[in-house]
Amino acid sequence: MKALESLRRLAERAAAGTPGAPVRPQLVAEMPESRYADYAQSSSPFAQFASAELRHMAKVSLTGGGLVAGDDPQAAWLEARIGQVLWAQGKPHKGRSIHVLDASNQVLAICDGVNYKVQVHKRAGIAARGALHLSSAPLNDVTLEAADYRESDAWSLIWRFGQIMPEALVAVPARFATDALSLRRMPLVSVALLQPRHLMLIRLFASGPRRFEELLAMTGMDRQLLQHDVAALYLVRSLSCVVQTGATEVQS
Amino acid sequence: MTELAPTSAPPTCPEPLCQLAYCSIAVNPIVQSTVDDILRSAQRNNLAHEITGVLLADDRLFVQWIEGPMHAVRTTWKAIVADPRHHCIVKLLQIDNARERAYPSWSMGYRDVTRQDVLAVIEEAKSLSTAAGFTPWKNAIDIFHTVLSLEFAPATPAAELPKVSGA
Repeated sequence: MKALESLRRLAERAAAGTPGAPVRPQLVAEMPESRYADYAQSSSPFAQFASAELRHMAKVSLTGGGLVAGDDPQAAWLEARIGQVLWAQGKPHKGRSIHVLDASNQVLAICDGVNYKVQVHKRAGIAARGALHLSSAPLNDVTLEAADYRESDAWSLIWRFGQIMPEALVAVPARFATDALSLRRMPLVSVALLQPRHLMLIRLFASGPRRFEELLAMTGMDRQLLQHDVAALYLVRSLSCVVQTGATEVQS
Repeated sequence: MTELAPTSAPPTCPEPLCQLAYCSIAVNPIVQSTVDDILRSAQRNNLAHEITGVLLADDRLFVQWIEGPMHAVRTTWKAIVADPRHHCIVKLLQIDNARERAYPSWSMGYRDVTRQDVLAVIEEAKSLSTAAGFTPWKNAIDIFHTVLSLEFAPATPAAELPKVSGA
């Protein structure tokens, strides 16, 4: 993969005019003493645009769950269950492939641990029986039809879990209901899974850390719906709490 | 404008070379003192860890390219992600086992750029990630690009805004 040529051009354009310029250091993290102390006064351009749109959003009925148009509820439900399993086992599968099986050992998903791509069974749906479990055993004696699977990725499945499964709400630390929340990283989920309200939330977070009740008031969203959105952002490791000392708590 | 900073000797790098670029949004508007603070606080780590690269910023967005030994880039990346001065971080590119540095003589250059410059970099990263097939950060680039596009979109009459349904 080649480097970003646009970035290189910008860099070279500046360098050409500055022979012998002083050495500049790299950016590394050094926690400042006071952080987020003045985030409430942040004047991000995002905030200005968002506020106008939010006035409209507040009039829109926001109900329902995490499904998007065209979703097959059974497929979404299976994806959410697979996402739950993947989230629960954390990152240990990084670098190796694992499979998600149901109680009858039907292969529901094949997860590529290198790039987090996941092949999900198309038709298993609610036929997936019992508790799902993980296996890293080779699938040598199992015949799999490629046509039975569709491609997704681990983060999108975990997002599904956060969006529609009640268990996801329990997974979120209690302090996320009271402390300021910061969107540390953009979610790694497919844009196709995002609804307008998700983009609105992201834009609100882009203007600075927000508390749950603040988000609730600004968006006019249903409380449980917002809880699921916060849960989904937390589970895909995008959202962190801004703790008292000012440090952000980032899931590793 | 603070300018880029060529340095004299390209650092040697016997380990596998890793190159990484990201974009992020500053928590507070970026002013010169912010940049100076960032650069000052980083001074002790640059050449010692054999990391080179460039930092670009407009009034709100950062774009940074870092490159160096794999372990040093990973350590620096973890610190960058945890830095509370910015958020909404998006990895734009990662090249493991690169053959040569893109910025061998810059311990870390900096310059301020326009929003259009930043958008051009993000759009190129989006194209690269699409061309490369699936990368874990492709989706995040798409979302970041969408959010930035919304920011610059003309005011939308309420009647024309997308309907929001819970499905």
